Amino acid sequence: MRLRRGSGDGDSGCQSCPMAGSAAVHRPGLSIEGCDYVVALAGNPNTGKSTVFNALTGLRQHVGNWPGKTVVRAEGAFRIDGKKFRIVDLPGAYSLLSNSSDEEVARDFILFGRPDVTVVVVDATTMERNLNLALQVLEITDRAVVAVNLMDEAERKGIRVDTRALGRDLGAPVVPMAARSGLGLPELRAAILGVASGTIQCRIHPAPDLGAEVEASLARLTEAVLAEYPGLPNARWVALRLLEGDPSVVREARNGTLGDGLHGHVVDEPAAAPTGAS
Amino acid sequence: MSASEAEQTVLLSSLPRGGAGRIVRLLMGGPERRRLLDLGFVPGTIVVSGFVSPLGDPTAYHVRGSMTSLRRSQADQIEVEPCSGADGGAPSGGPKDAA
Ligand SMILES: Nc1nc2c(ncn2[C@@H]2O[C@H](COP(=O)(O)OP(=O)(O)OP(=O)(O)O)[C@@H](O)[C@H]2O)c(=O)[nH]1
Ligand SMILES: [Mg+2]
Repeated sequence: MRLRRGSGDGDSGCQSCPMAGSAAVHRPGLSIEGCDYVVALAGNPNTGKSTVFNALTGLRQHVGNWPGKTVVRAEGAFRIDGKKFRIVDLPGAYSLLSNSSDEEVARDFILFGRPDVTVVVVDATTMERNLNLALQVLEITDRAVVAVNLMDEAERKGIRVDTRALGRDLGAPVVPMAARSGLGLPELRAAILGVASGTIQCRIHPAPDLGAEVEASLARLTEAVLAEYPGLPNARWVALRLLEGDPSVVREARNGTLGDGLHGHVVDEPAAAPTGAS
Repeated sequence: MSASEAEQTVLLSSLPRGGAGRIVRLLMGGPERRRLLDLGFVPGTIVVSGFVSPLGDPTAYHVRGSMTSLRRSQADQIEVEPCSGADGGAPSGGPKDAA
């Protein structure tokens, strides 16, 4: 089934996304044109992001048991309750703060790609390391779902994950999953739809108070960033990195390449202009 | 960390295989420090030295329930206080997803 561009609900979704029109590649499965919402799949390397992507879209992204398989963005689409979602499978990343070049692709999409929902896929067997990225994502958005994948593997190793308590502590929906066998998929779909449509409201705990002095500098810097990059999402996050002296963000802000990882790097992206589909 | 603890610190690279240490501080700065913090090498955390590759470099370490392999030059810049072992975070399983 195909939909035409423009059937979205307007204020959120593909039309307002900086990627709009830049990667309309025809692929098997549901066309990625005219979606209502955009979902980003984030998570540490090898946590099952592409497995979740394939389960939701029916596509066949490369899956295997070593980290670093997905190196560029891959996109697909699926429907939940008549709403159409574009989903972006990202390379694995341990952090939004320290990046290798494929992590930069993930970081840029999470920060600047304006996803309506960010699904953080975490590995139930190595929660402590995985929650680092989950917390960083929850610092920048309250539209997130935490998918605790590999629950079967955790059980085999005698690890119990209390996803209910975790959901309470994080203030975001937490879905236990074993994506390879489809366990938890209906719950994940419901959580994605709920967060996208606003029927599920995340209650993220506020970030620690940075103090009046830092806040004042941050406000000035955020304004300066926005003056240079009008409409940039997460300008405060960028300003925080500048205050910290994060070398990659400083360099990108200086030479005007902030968020450039958004352009290019799409799997199968054609050299020529998109064909406009339908 | 108190002064007395700081006196008995050694470098992570000097832990014998199977030896454990509590991280006291990271001696490097910049992106490399940030990276190690992101991988769980945070002061106060217990690290257990694991599998050493045939050439002696890199070495895999258990930290916060994960395995991470570090080059010797990285392990040379992490100060630990040797201790008796895991505090619940470090499993005894084999290497899995060395980064
Ligand atoms: N046991 C088990 N294995 C799973 C599950 N989900 C995924 N896997 C396996 O975990 C491995 C990694 O899955 P991928 O989907 O490739 O992981 P990824 O997060 O996309 O990996 P990168 O793109 O490399 O970051 C594959 O061998 C999958 O078959 C699950 O729920 N249970
Ligand atoms: Mg992948």
